[in-house]
Amino acid sequence: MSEFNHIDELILKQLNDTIQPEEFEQLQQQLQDPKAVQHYVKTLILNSLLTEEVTSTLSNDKSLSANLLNEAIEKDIKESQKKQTQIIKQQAQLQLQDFLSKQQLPDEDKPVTHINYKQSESTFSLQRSVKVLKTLAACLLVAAAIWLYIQPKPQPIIANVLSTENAEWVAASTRTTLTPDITQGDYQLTKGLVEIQFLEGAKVILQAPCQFGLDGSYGIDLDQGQLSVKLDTGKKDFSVNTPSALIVDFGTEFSVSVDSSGISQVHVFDGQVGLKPTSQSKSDNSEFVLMNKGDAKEVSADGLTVNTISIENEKFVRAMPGSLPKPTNTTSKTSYAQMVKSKNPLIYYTFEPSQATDYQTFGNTAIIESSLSLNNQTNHTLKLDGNNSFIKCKKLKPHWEKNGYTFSFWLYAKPPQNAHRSIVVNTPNPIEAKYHDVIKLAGINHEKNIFSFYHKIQLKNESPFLYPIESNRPVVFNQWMHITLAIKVQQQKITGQFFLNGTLLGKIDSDDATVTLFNQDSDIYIGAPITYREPDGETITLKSLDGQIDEFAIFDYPLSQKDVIELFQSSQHNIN
Amino acid sequence: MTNQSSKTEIPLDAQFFQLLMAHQKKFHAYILASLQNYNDAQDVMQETTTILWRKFSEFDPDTDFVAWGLTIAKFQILRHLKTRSRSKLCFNSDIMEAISKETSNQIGQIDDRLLALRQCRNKLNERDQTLLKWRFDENISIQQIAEKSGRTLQAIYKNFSRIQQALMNCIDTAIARKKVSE
Repeated sequence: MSEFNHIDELILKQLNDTIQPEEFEQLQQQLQDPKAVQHYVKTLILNSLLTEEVTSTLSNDKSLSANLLNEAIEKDIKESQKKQTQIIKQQAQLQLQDFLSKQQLPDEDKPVTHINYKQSESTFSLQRSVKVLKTLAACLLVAAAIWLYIQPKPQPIIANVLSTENAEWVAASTRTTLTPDITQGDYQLTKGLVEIQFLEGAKVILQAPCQFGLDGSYGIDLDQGQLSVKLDTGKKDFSVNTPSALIVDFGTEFSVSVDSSGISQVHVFDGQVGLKPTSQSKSDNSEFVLMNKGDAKEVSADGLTVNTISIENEKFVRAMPGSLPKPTNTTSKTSYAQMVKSKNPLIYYTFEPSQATDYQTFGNTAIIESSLSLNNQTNHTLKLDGNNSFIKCKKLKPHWEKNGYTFSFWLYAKPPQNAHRSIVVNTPNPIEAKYHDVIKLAGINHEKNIFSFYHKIQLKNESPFLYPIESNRPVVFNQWMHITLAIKVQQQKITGQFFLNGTLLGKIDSDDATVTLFNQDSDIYIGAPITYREPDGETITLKSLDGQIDEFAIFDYPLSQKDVIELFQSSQHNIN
Repeated sequence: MTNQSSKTEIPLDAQFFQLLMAHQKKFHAYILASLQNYNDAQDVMQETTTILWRKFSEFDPDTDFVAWGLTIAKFQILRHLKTRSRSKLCFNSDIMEAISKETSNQIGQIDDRLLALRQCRNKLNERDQTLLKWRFDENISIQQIAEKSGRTLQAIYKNFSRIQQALMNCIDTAIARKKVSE
């Protein structure tokens, strides 16, 4: 053990930009000692190697676990069904590695760069395949055991839909409309725009008409159409395969088009990409070309010619229009209110002036508003002016949320004006709250411009803390949005889901099997300002909501995604 | 340029990729040790790579690519430090100099340390390997790992600190053994 291990936590905080001034001072004091500097530099180098070293653990793994074997066999089956064009693309992907092996680099120096990351992944697949075949040939008993694993399994999710704009798209194989979670397969976008985010971080905007295929979360096959890729700094690499080119992203922004004749274009707007033509007709020994910001190139349909062209900023949609998806027409004849009631809410406030209310208003500014319209219909809502006005909901039965629960409502928020804004608070007294009194809290985080939701949970032998779910898309202000927060508790595991306009935009699962969901019998406030102190001493303040809320419902069970979509789609009819 | 005839058979961009792949770990380690922050290091690494590529035609293949690259990296680090927000916490110049000197001393050991790291990483228990996988292979932030695993931020920092110590001890032992066997 090094005598300086106690500074490791400080180093980690410094690397992650979370070190506090007093901690930094403490670290600086320690580094007066040359031995501490030695330890410090060693630690930074270790972190650098861990950052840069991506797949070594997998590629060095000599033992093939059952799960890996299962994956390998499934991959073999899928591989055999792939088109000839995909084989050509794979060959192209492997070419860079082939090239490098010809240069006789030492083994340890090969698979570590961004570009090689993709290559090493596909190489690993091939190596696994060989191992699988050897294993099967060697031992039929093992093979029989292996086949036990080959049971139909749900397709893994590769990407999520972030937003759409007048989009119509289908999964090519099933002709079914896409869900927010996207799995492996071929797709067609016939109209509009879709923005998807891959699990590995890349964001892609697809422009109709567009045909594309997804095989994993590190890349996309673009058969025809246009797309734009944005990969934030620090994310892993991402590749686009077209019929005649392979484009590998090094952490950048670029767009790709493939026209009906098969000509591919690559336009780099930021950072760098590697471009490699993938010809089917010649022996494949073309090289990767490094493209920088401002470069654009065109690859002929046969992959034999690469020409430099002028970059076209206007050709591609690189950012989604600011508006969120609008409610679409639906054949449902059920009104929103009927739909909510059919799902047995514990409370349901429609904020109709003519109806009796069982909530209390506070201050003189929490009013029933009737001037704004929702979907071109007269709308009666609860209006809060951002200045300490809020309402208190009726008392609910004790332990109402023990099996999970749902908040569902429409929200029209004004910009937060440099303050976090509160939407729903569950605490005995929001004005003078203590950390352990805050049970549920939903609001708008003005620093990240996202929705944040917290529920207090406790893990075995640890202090209770506020368990967060955040939307992965910024709030759009001055626009009506349908919000649903659903918390599911099952076998002491908790799952939180955040839906916006029927689309899942945030999800979190606790892996720990010892979660206890706090369900203290305290009041629920809509829009109430709240201030409390975090355990680390930071004071958190959320001001009252500035905006409007409507159709506020609480359920004592988690609504399913189907329920949420039904609610959202029924909104076209008779919302008042 | 004694090796020019053989090297000129390889296209310039391929030569560059080859050298970059072989040595970019050293550049990244040097930049991270100088800036002490992942995000800043990532930005400077990208800027350095761009300049290395732009200037690669000026590089004499008979000279040391690492030394040439580190010179460019140092210049980019200085440029970055000048433009870095004043609000960022910076060590005093004595400590910065000591860190820089120590980094230069240790940079030559990087290949050995990487080999040892690969072995040491496999020795970790499943839970620690999962944490490393999330943080470094899947690029999930410490905050997100805390959320994902349902633990406090502080607990996750402690976990990583412990893993880091285990890896450091294992790597140091492996390097010491290697030295003895040599």
